[in-house]
Amino acid sequence: MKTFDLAGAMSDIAKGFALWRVWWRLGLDDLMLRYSRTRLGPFWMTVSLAIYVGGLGLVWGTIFNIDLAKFFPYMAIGLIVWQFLSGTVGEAGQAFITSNGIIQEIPLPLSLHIDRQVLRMLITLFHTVPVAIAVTLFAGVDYTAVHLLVIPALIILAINCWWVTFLLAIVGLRYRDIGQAIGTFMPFMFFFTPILWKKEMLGRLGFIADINPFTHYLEILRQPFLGNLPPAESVWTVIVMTTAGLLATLIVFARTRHRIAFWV
Amino acid sequence: MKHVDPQIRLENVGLEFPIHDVSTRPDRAEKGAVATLVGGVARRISRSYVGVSALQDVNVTLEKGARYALLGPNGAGKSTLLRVMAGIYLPTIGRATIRGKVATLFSLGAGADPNLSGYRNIWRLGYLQGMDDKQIEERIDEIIDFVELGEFLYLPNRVYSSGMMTRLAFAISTMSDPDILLIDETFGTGDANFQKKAQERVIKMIESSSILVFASHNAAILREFCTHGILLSRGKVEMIDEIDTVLDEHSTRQHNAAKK
Repeated sequence: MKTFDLAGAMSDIAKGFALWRVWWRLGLDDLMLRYSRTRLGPFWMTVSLAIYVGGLGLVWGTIFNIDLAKFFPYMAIGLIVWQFLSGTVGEAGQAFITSNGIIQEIPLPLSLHIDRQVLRMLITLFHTVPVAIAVTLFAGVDYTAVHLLVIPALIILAINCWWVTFLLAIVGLRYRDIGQAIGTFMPFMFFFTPILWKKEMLGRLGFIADINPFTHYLEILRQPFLGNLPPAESVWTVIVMTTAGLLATLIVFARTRHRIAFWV
Repeated sequence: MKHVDPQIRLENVGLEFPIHDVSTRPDRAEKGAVATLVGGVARRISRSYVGVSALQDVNVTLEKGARYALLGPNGAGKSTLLRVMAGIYLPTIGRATIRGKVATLFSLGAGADPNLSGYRNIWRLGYLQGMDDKQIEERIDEIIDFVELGEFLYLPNRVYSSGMMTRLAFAISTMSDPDILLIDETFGTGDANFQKKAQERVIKMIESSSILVFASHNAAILREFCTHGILLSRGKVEMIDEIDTVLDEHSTRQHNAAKK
């Protein structure tokens, strides 16, 4: 009885990437169907985020009398990245469940269904990036070479989106309660992540931001967007989490690959 | 690239289905219902977990040119065995080696999306079956011709009549050129008018594949396409022999079962 098949898991992942045509098509179909018969199509995501960010900036700025020029881009970009993070985590548990009609009928690498969902999450993110750019322009952020760090940050986020989706898809498939629990947990985490507030504002309680992994994922993209270098501890945390996450995902997949088709 | 002949080799293959969360499933009220819904031999392992032993100790090697019928009463494990041969289910015991491009005719139109047009679904299923742009382009005219959808080709599938849907689903499920072709009897073919055209298409696909495994109860069809048969019962291979011998044994058993 083979319960741990590392070579099989790795070959599944490699074959999944090689079949990019399939997940590319499926991922685009998913998005297209979601916005079919709308004129704006996926740009509704851009619009809805822009309105959300604008409205929140207005209200927040008025209530707390914060210097908007400084705080607005911080908050807006925070929201954009948060939407990506919470979308990734929130929908991850459904990745295999939504593909069940295909998994049972057509022999394909299982990782392909993950790649399909990750593509959708990334395209969604890219539709909200214009809002981030608009905000930096509006706030008069100076463009410097530091802004180039946005590119590696996006690549790192994409890699993390992949393993998080993969790992939670397996866990959410087997333990359906966990899939549901994660969805309810994300709005809660929102308040513990420095988006509508800054670490300094919490004073003694600032450590809440530090021990929250989402903070660090947020910072590595948000700070370059604002023209700052990301804090070193965030970079290190993300590097460690990425490595550990990829390894954990590989181990869990090697352990569960032969069961996934039954669990869907 | 080294050319390797297609092959299916199953060595001591056993497969136990897990059915989790029995206590929180909607059908929990019917005690024991879970056990009878699926084939094989079910045993309750814990309060929330039922294990269904769907296949036991299966040893089969199919080489190039193999034309096998898969026979057995309902719940014998035919569909499960086909899914193992396809590489969809990985055995829990033993080893399954599958070499070659596999196509599955299990359920009609699997993977198609009702909100996409027929045209988009042709492309989608082409990709799902491992075809590339060139291969799909080569065959798309033939498929469009076959489905006879007219202007409906560019409308979403949900507005199709059931006949149109059957034609489309059938055409897109049979568009690739596999080495190994696996057919389950559950793969229906729709109205009588369409039957002949559909049959021709399946025959062409069968003839061009190097390995065929066909699960069906229809003796006439199996005699026509298969040279050998595998008889399954409660997850075990009872007999592997020439098609006539296996069909005889199968009908004797069915007859005996009916008498009881």
